[in-house]
Amino acid sequence: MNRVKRSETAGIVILLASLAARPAVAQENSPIDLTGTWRWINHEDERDRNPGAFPGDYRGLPLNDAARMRADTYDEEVNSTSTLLQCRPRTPGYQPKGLDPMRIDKVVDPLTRQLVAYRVSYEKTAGERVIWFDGRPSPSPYALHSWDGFSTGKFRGDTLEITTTHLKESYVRRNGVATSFRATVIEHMSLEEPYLEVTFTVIDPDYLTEPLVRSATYMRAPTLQLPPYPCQPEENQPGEKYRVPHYLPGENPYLTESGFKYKAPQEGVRGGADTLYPEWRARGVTLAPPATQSTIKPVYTDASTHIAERADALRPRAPAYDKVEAVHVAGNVYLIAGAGGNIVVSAGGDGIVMVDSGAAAASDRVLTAVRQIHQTLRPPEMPESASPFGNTWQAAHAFPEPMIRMIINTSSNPDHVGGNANIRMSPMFRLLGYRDPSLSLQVFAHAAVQRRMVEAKAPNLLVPTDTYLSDSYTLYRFFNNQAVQIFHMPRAITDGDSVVWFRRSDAIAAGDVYNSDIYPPIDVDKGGSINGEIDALNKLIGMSVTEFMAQGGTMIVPGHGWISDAADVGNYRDMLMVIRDRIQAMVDKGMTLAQVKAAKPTMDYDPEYGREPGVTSRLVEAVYRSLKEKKK
Amino acid sequence: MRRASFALVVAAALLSSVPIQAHHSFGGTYDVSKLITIKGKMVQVTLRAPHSFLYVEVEDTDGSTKQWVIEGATAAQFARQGIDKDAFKIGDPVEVVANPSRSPNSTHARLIKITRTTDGKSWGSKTGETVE
Repeated sequence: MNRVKRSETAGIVILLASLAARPAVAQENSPIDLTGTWRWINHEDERDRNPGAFPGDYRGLPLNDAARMRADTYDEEVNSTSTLLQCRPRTPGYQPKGLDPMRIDKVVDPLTRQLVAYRVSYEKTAGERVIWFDGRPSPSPYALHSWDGFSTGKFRGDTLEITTTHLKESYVRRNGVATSFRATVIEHMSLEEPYLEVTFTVIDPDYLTEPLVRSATYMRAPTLQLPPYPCQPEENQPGEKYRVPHYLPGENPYLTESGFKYKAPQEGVRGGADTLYPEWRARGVTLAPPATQSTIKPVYTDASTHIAERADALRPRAPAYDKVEAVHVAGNVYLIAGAGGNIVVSAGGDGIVMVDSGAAAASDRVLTAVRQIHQTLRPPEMPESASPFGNTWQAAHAFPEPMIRMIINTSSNPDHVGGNANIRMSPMFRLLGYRDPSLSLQVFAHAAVQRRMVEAKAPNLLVPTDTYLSDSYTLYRFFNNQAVQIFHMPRAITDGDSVVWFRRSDAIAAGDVYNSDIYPPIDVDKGGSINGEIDALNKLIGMSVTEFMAQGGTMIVPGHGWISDAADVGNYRDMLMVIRDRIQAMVDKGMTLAQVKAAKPTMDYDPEYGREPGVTSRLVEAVYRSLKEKKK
Repeated sequence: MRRASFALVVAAALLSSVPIQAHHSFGGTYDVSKLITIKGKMVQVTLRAPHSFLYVEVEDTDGSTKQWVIEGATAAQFARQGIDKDAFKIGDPVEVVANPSRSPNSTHARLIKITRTTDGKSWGSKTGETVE
């Protein structure tokens, strides 16, 4: 080896050594780092926090008339009386207006070391909010809504953009200005050390006419420790029947208080998109504030007041049932949605029990969904140490097809019982005592359901084969390792409604007693009533326990809509109690049904629950009749 | 004199900037411009987050009793003001100054000041306000 070659070799060795010693270049996948603890700075909208928004103060909010009516009739004391509201955390559509400090932690994939998520804790929230960066898809539209919702993050330049859906109904101001469960919140976070600027936008198709954009500022507080927040709801009305404090329309005496105290013209105090823009200022300065504090009778006229009529005017469409999907609820309980009424399934080693069967035309897709659920139960590989003698799990999975053991019907509504015949005729319908079908429960319901279907001359295969007459019924043995209990809800939607409780999974199939996004189909001719419906919802809430901060815990699957918890059912009950009280006041005044309908007593709730043809008119008529008939 | 006035202004400004740890809106729930006085005996003290509640039983002239629910700060804030589990015994006679509820016929009220009338010891609702 000559001198040149030796020096080349030495050079390569040095180069390799230097490369080996050089640290790997860090790969950045987030342009800013928001981790750490942050203190909220109270320098915007101080009076909104202290002493808190006065009733009727809607300044700066682009709300519609439905939202106005809802807030005009709201009584903030409901937060003291309802144990489901006392610990209600703020949603992202209001949280930055709270005074909570927050802590942001980073979650990193240990293998790729890529940013997966931020975990955000606020002082008064349900736990840790997660903001996902891993591109995961949105949950099913039938998935549980929560106070934090489902959030995904994306860095746009030096700004973090967070989009949140699947929120529970909440508020944008603490005086009853509601946000719908259909709302989306978009947050933009930008960093100017030591300040974190949060601009948050609420897009609400039900209660806002345009996006509501607000901002808040946080300051880095590295030594700040979030205190524990063991929120314990307090029963304020021991021994008293639950009530929802609220004002009848036109009877709230406080709606001019804010304008009077702050010397602001009432037109501006009533809010609305027009009042948010500089052009309105020229008009605003010409208007006088209220001279006294007095009761006003607001008039509501905008497009949000016609939602029920517009829904009624829609041409009825034949349901397509082309989006039937299975969603996990809890434990071994699943929801099959999109097949008419919701179907609830417990699946496991004992086979499958179905609560309701959906619409007849959807049965093929329902059976496909049942097969999908069955497939998810199949272990990918049986462990070698499995018992040589087999077990019920293996026995169940020895069948290529899942075995549907029985159907329980919650009511006689066609979109809940329509699939009974098709499911029973399917080869998948294999009864527990199939050698002697007379010994098996096949299609089970309250006796009133069977009676009504026989009276209506429904085809035999649709009619429940087995019934119960008592307040409740418990299946004679555990099914899929859990007790299955059926409770009669007398005089709710009809006189034969049942709810089904899967106890170990802690999931309840509520049937049409509870629908998360439409009014209940109370049928007075079949024995239903508004007070029976409210009693049934109270019973459902009493059976349920929330996990923490009015969220999670017992899962309640509605007859229609998304998987819910007790807080959602409480919200629904409160809505019906307010509507009941309004119509009761009209009945007491001697108003006719036509007059009550013309007064639109549900108008402020129609954007959320009245978007299906006929549901609003049906509810008003049912409430009127059940109150009127009670009076006789 | 001028120095004293300045000090008062600063103190007032500081007090008004103390955030009330209200979860729901006190201004929306209670009429903060009005004060009522409730005389009765303490029947329950529940120190909680986000708000604590004092239950006071009031005897009417006809001998019937009514239970008032007095809402106050979070347990931690109460503790800073000296209201803890030992502050009251069940049955202690108390006099409460409070903002009444806006809700008609409600027996809920927001605590401003409470006095244990056996020894005259009293507590105010603002941070640092402990009135002997």
